[in-house]
Amino acid sequence: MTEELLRTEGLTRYFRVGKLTGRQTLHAVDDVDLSIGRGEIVALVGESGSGKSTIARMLARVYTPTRGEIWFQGRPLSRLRGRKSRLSYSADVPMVFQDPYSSLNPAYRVSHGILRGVKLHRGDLSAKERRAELTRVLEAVGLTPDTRSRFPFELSGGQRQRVGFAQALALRPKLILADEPVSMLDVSIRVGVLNLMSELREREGVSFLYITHDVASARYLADRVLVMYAGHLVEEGATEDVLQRPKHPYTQLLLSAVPDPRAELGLADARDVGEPPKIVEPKPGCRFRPRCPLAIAECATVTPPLRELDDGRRVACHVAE
Amino acid sequence: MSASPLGATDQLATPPAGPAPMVAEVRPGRGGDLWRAIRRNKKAVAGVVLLVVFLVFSIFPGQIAPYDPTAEIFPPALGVSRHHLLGTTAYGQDIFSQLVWGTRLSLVIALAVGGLATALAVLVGVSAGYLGGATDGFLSLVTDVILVLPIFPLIIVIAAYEQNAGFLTLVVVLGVLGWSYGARQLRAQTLSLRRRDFLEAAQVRGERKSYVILNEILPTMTSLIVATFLGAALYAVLTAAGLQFLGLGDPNSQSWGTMLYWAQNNEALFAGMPLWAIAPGVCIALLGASFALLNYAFDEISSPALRVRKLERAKLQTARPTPALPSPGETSDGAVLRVEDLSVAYATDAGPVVAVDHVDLELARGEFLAIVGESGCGKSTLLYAIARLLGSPLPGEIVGGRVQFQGKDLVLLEEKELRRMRWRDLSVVMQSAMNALNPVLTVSQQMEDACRAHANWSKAEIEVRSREVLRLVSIDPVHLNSYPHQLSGGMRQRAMIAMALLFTPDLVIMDEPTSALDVVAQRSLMVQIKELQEQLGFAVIFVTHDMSLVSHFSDRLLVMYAGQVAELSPTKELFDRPLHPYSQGLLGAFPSIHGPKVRLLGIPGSPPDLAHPPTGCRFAPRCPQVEPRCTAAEVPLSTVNGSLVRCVLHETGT
Amino acid sequence: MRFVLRRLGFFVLTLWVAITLNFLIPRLMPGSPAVAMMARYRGHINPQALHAIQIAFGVNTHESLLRSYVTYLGNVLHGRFGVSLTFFPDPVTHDVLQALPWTLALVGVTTVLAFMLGTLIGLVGAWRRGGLMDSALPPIFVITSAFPYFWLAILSIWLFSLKLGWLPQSGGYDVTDTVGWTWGFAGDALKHAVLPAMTILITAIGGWILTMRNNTISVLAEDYVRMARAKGLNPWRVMWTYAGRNAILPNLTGFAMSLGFVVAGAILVEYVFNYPGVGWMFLQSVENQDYALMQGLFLLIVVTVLTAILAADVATALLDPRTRDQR
Repeated sequence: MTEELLRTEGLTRYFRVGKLTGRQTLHAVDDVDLSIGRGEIVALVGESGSGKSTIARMLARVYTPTRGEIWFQGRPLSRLRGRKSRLSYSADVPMVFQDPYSSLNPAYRVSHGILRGVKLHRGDLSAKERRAELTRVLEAVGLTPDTRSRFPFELSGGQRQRVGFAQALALRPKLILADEPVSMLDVSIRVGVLNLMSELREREGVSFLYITHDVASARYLADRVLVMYAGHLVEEGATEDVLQRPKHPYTQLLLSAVPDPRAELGLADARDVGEPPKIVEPKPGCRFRPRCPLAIAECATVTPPLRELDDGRRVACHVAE
Repeated sequence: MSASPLGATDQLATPPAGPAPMVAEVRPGRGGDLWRAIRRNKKAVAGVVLLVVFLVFSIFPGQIAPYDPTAEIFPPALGVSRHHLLGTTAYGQDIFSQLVWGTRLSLVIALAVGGLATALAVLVGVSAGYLGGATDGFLSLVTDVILVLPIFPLIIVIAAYEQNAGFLTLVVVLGVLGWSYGARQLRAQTLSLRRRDFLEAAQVRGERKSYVILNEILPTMTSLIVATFLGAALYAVLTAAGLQFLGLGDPNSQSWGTMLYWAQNNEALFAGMPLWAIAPGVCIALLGASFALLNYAFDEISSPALRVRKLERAKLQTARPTPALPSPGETSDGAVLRVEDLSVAYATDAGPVVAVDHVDLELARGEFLAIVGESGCGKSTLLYAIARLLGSPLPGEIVGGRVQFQGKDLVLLEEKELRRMRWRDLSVVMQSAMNALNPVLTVSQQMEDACRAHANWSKAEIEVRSREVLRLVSIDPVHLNSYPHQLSGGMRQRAMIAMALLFTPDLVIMDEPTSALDVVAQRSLMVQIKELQEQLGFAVIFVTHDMSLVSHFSDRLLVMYAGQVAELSPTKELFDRPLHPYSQGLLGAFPSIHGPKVRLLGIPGSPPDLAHPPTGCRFAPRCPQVEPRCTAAEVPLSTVNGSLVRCVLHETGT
Repeated sequence: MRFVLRRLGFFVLTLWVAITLNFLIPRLMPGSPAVAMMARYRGHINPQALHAIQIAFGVNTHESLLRSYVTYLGNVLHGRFGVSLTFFPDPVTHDVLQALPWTLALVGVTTVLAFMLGTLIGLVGAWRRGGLMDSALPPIFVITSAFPYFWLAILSIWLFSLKLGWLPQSGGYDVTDTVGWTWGFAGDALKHAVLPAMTILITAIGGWILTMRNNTISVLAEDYVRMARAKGLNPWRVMWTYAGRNAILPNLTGFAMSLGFVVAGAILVEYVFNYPGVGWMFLQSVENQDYALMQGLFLLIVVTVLTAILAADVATALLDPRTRDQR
């Protein structure tokens, strides 16, 4: 694998839910180990409530982990002290958001967000240099430089997402956290933005953590895939490997449910009417067990750890091999 | 969002989730836009004019008032005359001069209290909303307590102890007690803004909290802040006038309220001098009205939903390309629905927009037709037009065409007859069950509604049928007594489908019913729908933006682009041999799970602005196979091996 | 019903704040206004009442502030507010309870009526979008809601009483009549209540019409209303159960917040009409520097407002099942 950029160990995040009396703990993310290398595109795949967005927010330092640690370039985030080093991390690991209609402040022109970022993180630049950066990043994402004086409401969804990427690029990042960047865009536009991400990796050497619920786009874009279910990381491996030969029963279920017009409607389609659980005060044991066709006795009492299989794959399942 | 103290659409600190406050999105841009909007709105104009008049009075009283207001030099109790426009007071002072000079104090109080109250409201409301946690809890509690305490009696109590409350005291007390209403609304809007990504983006960027509040939050709330100011000013005018009227202000000051005080003291009405009381009262009312009008107008300007726009049909193009289908008549055998030449338009500030442009389609009994397209193509508008359910928030009127269903043209039917047909023969499944189900009624009550409207079943029969349909979709009938918010997302969708089948209609139209679900639930719901369809024999029109979702379930696929039919084919045909370049582009935009990994292109560009549709083919600007003749003339639908396609490349004589 | 309990807690908290304000304000005012007042009591009332007043105003007591406060709280809870100067030597509670029925009858009934009518008109107006009701009424009511109550009161006296002579111009009843539960008296009281009631109604109704209209418009845009139409339900039922029941919820909470204005208006109206209710008595006590009575009336006003708000909250809980599920 390429040089490691970011690594997490035992990353966990709980939330307190409920009112004053009877507060309970929601296990949004439990015990996740992952790593991202330089120039790598890693897809974090899961359905809503699986914890993928929470992981992104922990990596962006919006939430602090309840347990576990995040290392960036060998240094642990929990030891990040002082505004300067925190700012430096924000520049290295920015985030691009899902909703193009709310990710840009409607009161300001496009240039505002980009210039703010440059001002905050690369304060050594002169005004002229800042404006040059503005033009550079807009062109890098496929927008014309005159876009800078437009207001968000004048742009289409796809254009707004590109502005989001431009804002991130202006910081000279090493890793961009992309939280479902295309799911709210029209289908014909999505591919363009996915291609943009791929180009940015080629040209600028930026890594991506691509968070999505759409497995097909993960296949299109990513080198490696991580599958999340109910707060746990259940499978990980090279994209083609995982998608063509899934080992975890959930990954198999997920893949069978993805509509593929070119394939025949298989027999494994249907009767599963279950839903991912809300993980409040969970007991030990596999969280997929209620829906799993391969469950054994052990699955009910012992939480399967993420173990490495021979071919570099990691799976959290007692049965898989 | 109106901040008029006399009403609220907001909720208390521990609110039930009700309809969201109509918070306005700030549309900045040239001040010219705002100015034009104000000019167009009659209420705003009235408000501005009044305010300007009063402003002039307050800035130049000496030039306008003929006499010194305090000079008791004239004969008392004179009526209206040339020398005294409004007569004189009981002490011989000129009323008109008093009015003019009184403007200054009243206006200053209004603006000062407005400013102070707004500043406090912004400080408390935004901090509470943004900082959250214990700070929010504390600030909200303080806000609510002050909001609820009756302020007027409290001020009277304070004034009672302190004789001759000066002007400054008045302003400070009014300001310090009057911010709570605005604070609540500002907090509510801040809370809804918190979920907006741009705030999170600023935070992730590394901005300081103070920067975020001042530079990211406040600028987007300008309309609410202005509304708060206007509301506070109104409150100040009325409350100050009331206090002065009671004699609790300084009776020697020059203000309208004090004029009323003296008028009352001198028994204006008995002395036959009603003008003493009416004149200052009118001024107070007018100043208050100017604030109220501006407030209301501001609401309307920023929330377009509040305005009523009339569709200008005259501006619509009525010309239509030659029909592609043979002449219409009664619904032909086997066809359950026949849509002919249907057009839908709605009014916008930029003029009328044709959202659905001369669409034809025919649906056989038990057929599953999928309508596919991207945002703005008109698919949802078409769907609801067929069901005659247009109206806010999907604006529009049918401006042409026919919808033949069961031997009748739905477009021409009266509401009463339409209602008879609804649900029995044609039912609807919407996108989000959370929004489509009435939050204050249980599932069984909502089923009962539909049953009672169309059949004479007894309560027991209704319950039996309700249980039956729930079982059809694999929901435990115990959930009949649940409220929508108590069910999970997937269950709600299925409950909605069950409800649609209460009368086993001939046609069920579905507007993206699976898009709120995750992939696994989507698949199982689609399978379920298909099974039910085969079991009960109803036809389905299914609108979606995801072609691959319906690829195994639909019999035919209709691709819409910019309000027109681009292609209509049997599903398999469309996937194997797409005719229209747009369909080809769409198919090529879906990465696949299996099969070779190729670089996809998507379709760069955006759909045309339907307020000014281009001549000729609407897809031409984005089409990789465009030719000059594409934009020369309107492109009609052509028939190719049983498929319909609107493209010059496949043009045949019709 | 957790929700209602929480609201009750809020009720108690606000009441406590009001009581504490009553206690603190006279002590904070410069010039010790209470001392002058006390002089007028000396020797004319029983020691218990005197003591209560001393505690309430901090005059001639040697106790610490905290002890005074605690004693004061106790007095309040037992209804020992002292003796009124205006209606000497009645105890404050007696006078307060005498004025209450008049205000409840006038202001209470009129406010509820205004709210219900306003909500109804707003609902129907919004339902028929673009109709006469919807385009003409809002600007009219925007203006009427900005009228000062007392001015409208004066105008109506001038017009209906002095000019036209239809209705009496002041008082709650004809002073030559005997007070009692007779039809004659009731009719007379009603006649006297018409003008004040009309004044309050006209001014208060505007705000509720407007907010209900706005709420209804946004509710009508909701999917569930469209679904109700799709089900072919009777339009009345759609308007009532689907639109109305949901649109009224924020209006109920708005009711709570606009009560402050109604209270202010009621006080002024009673004053102008010399109507013997709580507001009129309140202003009398201020004029006479009868602080004990004033404090008692102030607390009564607070309690009344809080009760009304609590009623609105209960109504919300009954109408909206989502509040009941809040833990």
